Amino acid sequence: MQISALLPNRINAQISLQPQSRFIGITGPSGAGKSSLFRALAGVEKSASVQTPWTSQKVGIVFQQPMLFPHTDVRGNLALAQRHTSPNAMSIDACLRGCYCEHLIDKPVQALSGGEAQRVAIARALVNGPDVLLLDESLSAIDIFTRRKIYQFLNNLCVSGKLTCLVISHDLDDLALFSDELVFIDQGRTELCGKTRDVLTQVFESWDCLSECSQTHGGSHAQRLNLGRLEA
Amino acid sequence: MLTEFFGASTLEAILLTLKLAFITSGLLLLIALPLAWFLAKWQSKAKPLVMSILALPLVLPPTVLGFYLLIAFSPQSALGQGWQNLTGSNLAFSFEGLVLGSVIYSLPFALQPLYSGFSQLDNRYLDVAKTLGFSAFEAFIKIVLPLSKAPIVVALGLSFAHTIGEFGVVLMIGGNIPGATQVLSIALYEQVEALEYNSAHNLALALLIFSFVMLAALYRFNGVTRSDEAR
Repeated sequence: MQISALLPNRINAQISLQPQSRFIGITGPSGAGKSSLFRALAGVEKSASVQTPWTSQKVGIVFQQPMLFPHTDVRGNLALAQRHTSPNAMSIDACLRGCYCEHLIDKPVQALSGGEAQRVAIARALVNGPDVLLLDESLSAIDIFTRRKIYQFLNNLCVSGKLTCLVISHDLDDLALFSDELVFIDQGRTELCGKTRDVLTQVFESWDCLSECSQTHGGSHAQRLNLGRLEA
Repeated sequence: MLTEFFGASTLEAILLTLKLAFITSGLLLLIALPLAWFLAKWQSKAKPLVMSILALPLVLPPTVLGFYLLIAFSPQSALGQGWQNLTGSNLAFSFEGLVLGSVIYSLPFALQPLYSGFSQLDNRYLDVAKTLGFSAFEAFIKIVLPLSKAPIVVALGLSFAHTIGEFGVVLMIGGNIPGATQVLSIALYEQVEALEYNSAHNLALALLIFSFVMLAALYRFNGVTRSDEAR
């Protein structure tokens, strides 16, 4: 599975994935271009040039900010998502159950906490019946227990072949638990891509190197500071 | 009771003014909604120029605008000639001419709040709508309009109130024909000219109260909407 996305002066990413991979983790430092990559893949960046294997498939996206429509309640948001639902879409009940937010159905959007709003936003995207779901740090405000349960629910959908999930997260534990493959993005480019374990190993190795370097530099910097004080 | 308080001719002017204000603000909403949306999304070097032209009635002396409109409405001009061929009547000094003049004069009062509201709308709502399968038009109707309730009400209120109070443009293009073009502000002017101060007091007070209530309602609505959004 080949994905390429070009956004002038921002991203130029080539991602090569195994055809059977259905849950793909994306990570990388802040400002690396992960969100831009997702916006390009979702088709909401006009200047982006994108090639994906999902040309005829429905792509949904959930941003870190849930962007629930505030002029209506949770039920209204789900109803809007159902207007253009695909034939294989799940029922509202199933989506709400899977995202642990059945009890929020009649709440106004303004009454939801950050985590609740994120859960509803994921349910709303699922109600629409996407073939591919892009989650841009969409579970970052949800407590770890509920978050893992929702990841498990999404992973089950992926395993059953109903969904392909691309997930941006800074939580490597979550990605290690659920991802078939992991992509490391930096400065708009794909730095690492492959089996989750292999990519994580390389990431940790580079961090160990960085840690050693910073200790060395930190020590010399501290020595310089001490020296400065002595001279003063 | 109203006839006794204002007098029959003033009441006629009140009804004509209300009719003019309702038609003008309705038309303005239809024109300003797509125009403001287009301007909010439009990126061009020519944008400041176009915005300046559209905002001109805000700063232009009404008599200047009225003078140019009078020229444009005359049967010698293309617009006036075309109107005459179409309807068989003059555009200048007619109610239809008054409506057209009011729409042009009050356009920035409807356009500015809508433009401001649309510019501040988070584009990610539209991104979400797009990924949910909404067309651009459907997203505008189902998402943008409900989210822009406050600017729409402000635009309607301001254009309505502004039309009620307009004087210079109306005098230039409509004259002072009772039942056809004599609106409230001109009726008031005529009463003062005729030294009918009691009638003028009644009308001026009614206009003052109307303007105050309208603005208070708009501020109240805006405040309530903003506190709703902040919650």
